[in-house]
Formats: sequence, structure tokens, C-alpha cells
Amino acid sequence: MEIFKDYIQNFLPSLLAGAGITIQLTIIAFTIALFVGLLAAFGRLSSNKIMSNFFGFYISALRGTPFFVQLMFIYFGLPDIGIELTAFQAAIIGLALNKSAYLAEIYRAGIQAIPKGQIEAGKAIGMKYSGIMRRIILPQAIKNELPSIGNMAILCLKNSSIAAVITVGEIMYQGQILASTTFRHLEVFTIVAVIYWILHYPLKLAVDYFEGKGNKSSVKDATY
Amino acid sequence: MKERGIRAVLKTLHINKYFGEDHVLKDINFEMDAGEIVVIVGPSGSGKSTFLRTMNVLERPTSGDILFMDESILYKKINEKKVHKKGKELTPTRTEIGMVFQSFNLFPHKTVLQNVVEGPLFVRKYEKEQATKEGESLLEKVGLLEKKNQYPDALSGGQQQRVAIARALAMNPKLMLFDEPTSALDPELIGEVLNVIKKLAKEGMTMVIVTHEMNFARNLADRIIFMDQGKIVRNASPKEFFNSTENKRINQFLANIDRG
Ligand SMILES: Nc1ncnc2c1ncn2[C@@H]1O[C@H](COP(=O)(O)OP(=O)(O)OP(=O)(O)O)[C@@H](O)[C@H]1O
Ligand SMILES: [Mg+2]
Repeated sequence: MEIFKDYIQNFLPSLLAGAGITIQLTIIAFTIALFVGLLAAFGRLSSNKIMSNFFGFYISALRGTPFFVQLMFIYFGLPDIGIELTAFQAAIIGLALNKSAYLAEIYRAGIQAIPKGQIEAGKAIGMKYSGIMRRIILPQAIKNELPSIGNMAILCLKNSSIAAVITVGEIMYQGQILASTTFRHLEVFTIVAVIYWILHYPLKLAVDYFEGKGNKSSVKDATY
Repeated sequence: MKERGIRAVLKTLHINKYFGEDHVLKDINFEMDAGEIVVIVGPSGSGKSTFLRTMNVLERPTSGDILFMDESILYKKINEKKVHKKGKELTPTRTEIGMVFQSFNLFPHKTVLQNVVEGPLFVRKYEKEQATKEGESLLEKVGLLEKKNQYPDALSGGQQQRVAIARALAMNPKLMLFDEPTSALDPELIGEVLNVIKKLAKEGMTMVIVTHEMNFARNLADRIIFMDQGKIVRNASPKEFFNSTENKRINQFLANIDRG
């Protein structure tokens, strides 16, 4: 126990610094993903064939290949065509694009689940398509999909650990350095795991809250 | 006395509608004046909803034209050529025509008042104060002012439908379309919705109503239209309609309704 306390004291500073980077990476990438995903969802749903096919390909390519490969491609591959990114930039872009594809599918499912009558009611009072989407469909779709979006944020947090392979100084990277210099793999990665778990916890609580909210009305209806 | 015959509010010219191979509306010619109340009846699948929905272009006829206040709602002229109106070119007509659906279709994420002022605020671009004042007076008219801050799922079906009527009226329409407004309601809630429609009738609102409520049709309609297999089979005053015995399909229909 005493010894473990020593390890924590020795390892924690650099791991916490790494956690700071992990948080930054996750928040920035996921925020971008939320917007790009929406764009991709509308592109996919567009009646314009070229647009729809393009975003269909975009989504499929990002969901059908490993994130690890995507990251290597962006960081080590793109310089060959003159696009040089820092490791942090590459990780942000990689993570954001990867999650945007998953979010696009979540948005799309959410939009398609809204009854057609909602669109017709909007049309009937003279709203334009863009207004119907923005004011009627999306608010309902996003609210319904909040649990899935929250789960995607948790995945984004955990996937950020892969950025270690391109030397972004987040927790996993710090952990690897500590482990290979002290040979205390078990201790180091236990602490790393605990930090990830703690970081994910507020997101998990949010997901539970959203799910509870969604369920409440149906439970109420059932016992009415 | 209502003012009649000012001019045709709505006129359909030889409209046909196909869903794939399915010929759902067959050469329909129809005309109605300001202040008129037309009730459409007919067996299930005869095309009543489809016909009604062409009137604000929720369905686009395959051929023919529809004039609203003497102007085509389907086509515009570019260099003397008829071109389909599309997307936002359809919205000016729709702001003038209110529609009430069988399934209410209230916006569940908005309160009752927000539902009603959505059109005035974001389509008509009224000031919030004015829209709210008018919205509240419409809710009062349908007897639901005290529910203005509730969400639709807290209301009964009859109340939801009355809100839906207020939402349509908030656009100050020249024509109101009702597609079986009471068919989704429990029997004891039908009366409150019909009463609101009666109130509109007294005020001279021009209305097209698809319904199976025959007594309501008899008492309120200026004209009853009977549709069968995509055609208008009969277009008559209620008195003539209910006395007519020569049409087998109509008699059969009326007999079924009485039993049902
Ligand atoms: N969107 C659609 N796609 C394909 N067929 C349709 C569509 N809407 C209606 N139809 C068909 O058109 C025909 C007329 O339907 P419509 O809904 O207008 O009938 P209705 O008279 O309103 O019937 P009901 O009394 O059951 O409401 C039916 O055969 C129906 O199956
Ligand atoms: Mg119908």
C-alpha cells in the first residue's frame, strides 16, 4: 500500500498533465465532429445525388476503416502531398472526422425517425424546408438522440488514447513513457485506466440522465 | 346571411393524380366560393385526403391545375412557359391556406402557445408581442387559454386538435382544410372539436372538410361532395344529397355509416 502511494506520487504529475491534453483533444475534436457530422447527415439526406453519394462515401470510408489507420494516414501520409500537421492537429482532425461519420449516422437516424406529419404541419403553416429542419425536426431529433450522442462522446474520449502512437502527449503517451522507463507497467496502466474511468464518468451520468428523460414519459404512459 | 359568390376562392381544373400505376384522382373539376363550406365524403381509399392535400400542394397533381384566388398554385410563367413552382415558391400559397390533420401533428417540443405563434413569428415575421396577443386570443377562442404553457402531450386528443386549429388560424388563412379532424378522437371528445368548427362557420370561414360525421355535414355544409374511386360522383346541397336515392354507391355508403 505504502509503495503504491509512492508510485502514485511519482507518476501522477505527468499523467495528469497528459489528462489535460486528453481533455482538450476530446472537447475540441468532438465539438468539431458535432458540426461536421450534421453537415454530413444533411449531405447524405440531400436529394442531390452527387451530394448524397459523396457523403455516403465519406461516412462509409470513415466507419469502415480503423481509426488507427486514419490517424497514421493523416499524420504520416498527408505530408507526402504537402500537408504538414503537428501531432496534436493531426489527432484533432482525425478524431473529429472519425466521430463526425458516426454522428452523421446518429443524426440521420434521428431525423428519419421524426414522423412525416411534422414536416407537413410545418409546410402547412408556410415554413420553408430549412426552417422546418432547423426549428421543428432537428430539435426533436437531437433530443431523442442525446443518449447516443453522449455515448459517442465517451468513445471519442477513449479513442483519443490512440493519438499516443503519433506522439501526442496525452495520458496514454505519458503512461507509455513512464512504463518503459520504470518498468512498472501494472501500476502505471492501472492509474491510466482509473483516470480514463474518472474522465468518462460525468459523460456517463449525462447519458443516464438523457436516457431517463426519454424513458420517463413512456413509463408514465404505461401506468396511466 | 353569409356573403356568397364574390369570386371563386379555389378552382381545380382537370386534376389527375397517379401514385405509380395507381390512378387516384380522375379528372377532378371543382370550384368553391368565398364563405362556402364544402364537405367531402366517400368510402375509404376513394381519394378524399389526396384531393384535399393537392389544395395546398402537399400532394402535387400529375396533371391539371389548381387556382387559388385566380392564380395557379402549381405553376408560374417564365417566358410564356409553364414551370412548376417548387420549394419556397409554394410557401406564399400555404400561408393563406390553413390545414388541420387527422393526427393533429402538433410540435411536441413546443408549448401550446409556441405552437400557435410559430407561423406568425417565423413565417409572417410578426413582432413577438403582437403574435403572442393574437395567439392568446385564438387560444381563448378554442377554449384553451389556460393550457398555453403546457406541452401537447399533456393534453387530450380533443384539446390537441383545438390547438391545431388555433395554429392554422393564426396565419389568418382565407381557406381552411380539414382532413377527418375528429377521426382519431374518442367519441366523447368529438363534440368539442366540431363546436370550434361550427364557430368558424358562423364567422364565415371558407372551409373544405373531409369527415364521416354525417349529422355535422348535414347541418353545416353548403355543399356535399361524394367521392368514389377517384372521381367526384355527386356535388349537391345537403338536402339534395341526403334525399338522393338514385345512386347505389351513395346509398350503400350512407347505410354503412348509419350502422357504424
Ligand atoms: N403517398 C401515397 N403513395 C401511394 N399511394 C397512396 C399514397 N397516398 C394515398 N395513396 C393511395 O391513394 C388512394 C386514395 O387514398 P386517400 O388517402 O386519398 O383516400 P381517402 O379517401 O382519404 O381514404 P380514407 O377514408 O381511408 O382516409 C388509396 O388507394 C391509397 O392507397
Ligand atoms: Mg383520408
